[in-house]
Amino acid sequence: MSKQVNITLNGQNMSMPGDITVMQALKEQSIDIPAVCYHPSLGPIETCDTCIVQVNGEFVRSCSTFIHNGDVINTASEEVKKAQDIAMDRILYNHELYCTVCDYNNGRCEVHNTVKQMKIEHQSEPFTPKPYEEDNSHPFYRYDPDQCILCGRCVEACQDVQVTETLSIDWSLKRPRVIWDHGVSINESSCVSCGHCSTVCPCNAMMEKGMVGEAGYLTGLSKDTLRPMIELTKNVETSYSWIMPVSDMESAMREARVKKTKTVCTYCGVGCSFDVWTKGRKILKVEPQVEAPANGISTCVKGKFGWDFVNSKERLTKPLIREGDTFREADWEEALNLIKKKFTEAKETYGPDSLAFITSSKCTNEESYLMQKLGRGVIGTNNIDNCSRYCQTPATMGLFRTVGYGGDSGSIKDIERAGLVLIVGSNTSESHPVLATRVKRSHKLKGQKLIVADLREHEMAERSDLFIQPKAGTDLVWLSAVTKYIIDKGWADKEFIRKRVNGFKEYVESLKPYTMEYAEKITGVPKRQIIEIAKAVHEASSTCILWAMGVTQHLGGSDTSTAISNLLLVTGNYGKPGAGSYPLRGHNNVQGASDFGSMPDRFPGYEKVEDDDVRAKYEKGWGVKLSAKPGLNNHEMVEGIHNGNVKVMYIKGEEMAMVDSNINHVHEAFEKLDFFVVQDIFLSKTAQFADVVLPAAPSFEKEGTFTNTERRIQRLYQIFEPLGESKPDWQIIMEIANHLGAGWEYEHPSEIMAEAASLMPLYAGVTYERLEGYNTLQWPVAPDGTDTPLLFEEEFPFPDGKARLFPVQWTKPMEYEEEYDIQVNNGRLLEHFHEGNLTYKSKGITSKTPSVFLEVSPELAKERGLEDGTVVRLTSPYGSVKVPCHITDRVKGKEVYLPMNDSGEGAINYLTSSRADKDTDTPAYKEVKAKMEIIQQTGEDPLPRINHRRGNPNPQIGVQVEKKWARPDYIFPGDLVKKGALKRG
Amino acid sequence: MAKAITQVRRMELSEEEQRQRDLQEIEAMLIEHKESLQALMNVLDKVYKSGGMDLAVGLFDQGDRVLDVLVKAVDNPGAAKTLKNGLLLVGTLGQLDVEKLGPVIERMNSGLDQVAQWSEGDRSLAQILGKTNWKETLLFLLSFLKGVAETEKKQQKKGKTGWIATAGLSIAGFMFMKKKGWLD
Repeated sequence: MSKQVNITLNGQNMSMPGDITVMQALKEQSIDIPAVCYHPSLGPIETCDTCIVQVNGEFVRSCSTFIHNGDVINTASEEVKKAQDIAMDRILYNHELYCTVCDYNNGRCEVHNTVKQMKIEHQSEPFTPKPYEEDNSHPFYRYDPDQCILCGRCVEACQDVQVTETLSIDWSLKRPRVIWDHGVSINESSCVSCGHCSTVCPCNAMMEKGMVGEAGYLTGLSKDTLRPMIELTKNVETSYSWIMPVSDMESAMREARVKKTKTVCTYCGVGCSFDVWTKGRKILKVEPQVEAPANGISTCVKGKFGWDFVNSKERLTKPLIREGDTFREADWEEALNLIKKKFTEAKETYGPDSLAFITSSKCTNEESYLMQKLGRGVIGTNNIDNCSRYCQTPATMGLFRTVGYGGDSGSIKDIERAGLVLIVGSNTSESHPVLATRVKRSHKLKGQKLIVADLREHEMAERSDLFIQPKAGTDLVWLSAVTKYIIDKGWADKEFIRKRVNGFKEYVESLKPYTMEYAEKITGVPKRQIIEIAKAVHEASSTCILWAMGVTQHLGGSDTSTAISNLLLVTGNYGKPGAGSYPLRGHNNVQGASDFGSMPDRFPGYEKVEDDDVRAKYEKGWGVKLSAKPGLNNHEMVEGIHNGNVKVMYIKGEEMAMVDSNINHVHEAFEKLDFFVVQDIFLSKTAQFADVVLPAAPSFEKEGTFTNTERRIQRLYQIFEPLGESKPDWQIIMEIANHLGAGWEYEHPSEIMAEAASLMPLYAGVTYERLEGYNTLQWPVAPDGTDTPLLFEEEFPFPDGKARLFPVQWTKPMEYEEEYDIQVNNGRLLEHFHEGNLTYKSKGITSKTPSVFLEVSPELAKERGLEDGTVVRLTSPYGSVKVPCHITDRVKGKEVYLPMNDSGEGAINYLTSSRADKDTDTPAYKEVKAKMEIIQQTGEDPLPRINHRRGNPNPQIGVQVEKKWARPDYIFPGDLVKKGALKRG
Repeated sequence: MAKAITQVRRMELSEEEQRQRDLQEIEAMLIEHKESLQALMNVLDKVYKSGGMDLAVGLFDQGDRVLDVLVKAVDNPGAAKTLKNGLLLVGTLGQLDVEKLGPVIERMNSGLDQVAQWSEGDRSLAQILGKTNWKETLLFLLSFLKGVAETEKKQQKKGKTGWIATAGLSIAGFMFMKKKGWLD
């Protein structure tokens, strides 16, 4: 609670909250003052000096000056105007003004708008070119030093928001400029292509290449013609009052042909939303918005620049039917009739359970709903699953057991403000980049503590306050030891446990074996480090635990997730801001797919198939009889094909042939199917096994909703028409259902959502009107539209409202014969999404990361005689891969890391087994051991010189404007005005 | 049910079918917009007959080169100055208080009439001196010069010193010289 203070503003007395800046106070009163470098998501940067006003007679920058009681503020005097003009002059000295032929003339250029606002007619010092070339080296954006006004927004964003710490301004140069790392070209730096700099740049100095030459009516002119035009404009211009209206007219005209549409990113589970600017089918740029709830102005390389795949020539545009050993293009009618025939045959000959349906964690909620409705309501089977089983189902299980809801406890904002963030088995900065930036920023600037547990020293580990490297698959042990230590020390939140948790006594009993000594023995982590973790949790104001595949993709994945939740319950870290459990969802719609019943034993909203009342509700809602028998999950389907029970499969939007485990086994199963339908946007590896391939439309070409890892439901809007004859998945499913006699009549996805909302209490109040624009809802959503950003504030969704501590025991990881001595860790990369079906279509991304590579430790390289580029074969009991080496100390000893960005000989899943989490059948991807042999000693290093991992970041806090002020040629404009007054007076 | 395959055979018939579909689409569009198309045809006819069509084709065809030439031709100091002066003049027109100028011009005309009479008629000094209303004439000249001098002070900073004086005197001088026939 801040108290009010009294100030006088331009002669008027008023009362304002006491903790705001002068600039904020002026905004409150709708008083317009110029501000070029200030940005609401970056805070005050203090480099432009245009926001100068007088407070108590002194000149100050209004962005960084807080108001105090009794302040007298003047924004309208001659002197204030003089100071602001001086500041603007200095900006124009650095920026060549040619708005009408500038690609950034779209109404948002801060330089243009401020010149207009300040009614600047001339500049006192003419622009002179800087002694630097344009930097066009990077595939996605370019830097034009001649246009750079040195506001430092890009530096601020890179250092303190994205926290990759690549950019800085070299204030020691005669003409300062932005530099990458310590002064290399953009493409050779540590730049991760996240796009923040081009997003926040107030003018056209840092600009997306998609915009260059495309955005304006005249900007596409060749350089030879453009230069004289610019010169002419400058020689002829009498004052800027001419340039402004003409360029404003051109800017208004651009609205006619540049379309701006909101969408939600289709890549990872953070669920960034942004506007996409398009001209015809050309994508000009992705423009993040401050009001986007999950990400604000932040993006990563995929969301900002990874959209080449939408217009790729390899897109499927017509249905394909297998004939012999080729696919033949066919008409929709023929394909649909064939599907109808085969589905009906199988159903009548072998029964409904001989068909299996895989829906998608990448497609919309409405599409998942229709797929499970097709399987359950039209065919009559519960054989429905999707790829979320490959990742977070164990976490969902762990949370169902303990707190009742299988989703993140709060929002990304809660992670941002936690006192302690504990990351277990997650490479957050590469798998959930924008979410990681919040942690990095809080850690760098706000004193947030960070503890990381992982095999590999990735970026979050490097930044952490404490980094432990337990043996693979032993997390449950140290987590339980931490919990036991906290209870033994009397640090448990007794009030919370008493009021809100059941099962404490039995739980404490179950913890008996997990002493510090036992933990150290099993995990290999020194006792004192585990004790440090316990202390940190105890001392933190609030704790968020983030986890991902390092926890779930093990034989005991559900149990480890349960142990995490138990720890949070014991320490009272639920139901309050800045605390809770955060199993980070992989795909953009893992949460949504699960929410909408894409599993064999539950309907949408997680209600059980075996529950008679629930089934009756759906039978009434859909008008059909439904089966009470839970169906088969992914792995059970594969077994079912092998033993002849499953004859027909229909997969949409998933690359099961590459991302399931033990793919030799899966490929053999696909070859045995009687009839296989695959629906995708490319001829994926899975589609290559199909009998019928149906061309689908990606997120840019349809309407629908995604639900991100924050349980946040967001709408996406259609940007393009579907390419060729491809169709949105929901339309295709509907047509198949109707060919089978279903009689569905959906005209728009909003109708599908309305039907689902009427049947699922979790989404009861969700409507498309409530989700318009950037509005979102976090489930549970009550019928009146009230949503739930923070879970468990009042009670837990169990009959007595209390959570449950759930005792678990450690499951030993898979054991291998001695010859398999290399631990093959695996996972994601920042720039390629999973196997790369979408991202390899981007020339820019592929140029920087052209292939898969094996991270090998220096110790192992020395021992086995490996170099950068050596091609090795790894063989497990299940298969083998061939892959080139890259030596790095991110991995240690005999642990290697094989990322999953390959669909050929280097695909990790040739090595993984079919063993899985004992409770959910999530494959134990992380429990892989192999033996290694050298195939080719010398070869090219798989990571090219321009890969960002080879760069050298230059960490600092912000743009260090003090260095600018210390320059001999700098005088504060306020001082200059005072000097002038003295001279005249 | 089979091994993974990657070969795709494109639909052969589809090209012919595609053409048919495209033709049907265009046919429908033509019928829908019959009236505006007829009007457009009318205009195009006239443009064609006047040779405008050829001109336009040339312009678009060589658009880049034409623009290039145009811009380079204009890109010389003289041309830029002309354009600049032109724009300045237009801007300054806004500053002229033409209302007040009206009566002055009337007087200017009368003065010129007198000059004309003098140049074509009697050259008697005594006569002119006798006929003139000296007080009014002197007042007119002095107040005009007074205004110029005062404005000159105000305009020192903006560098537009004595514009009006120069303009006024040059107009007067010009008219004088023309009447005298010195400019033919």
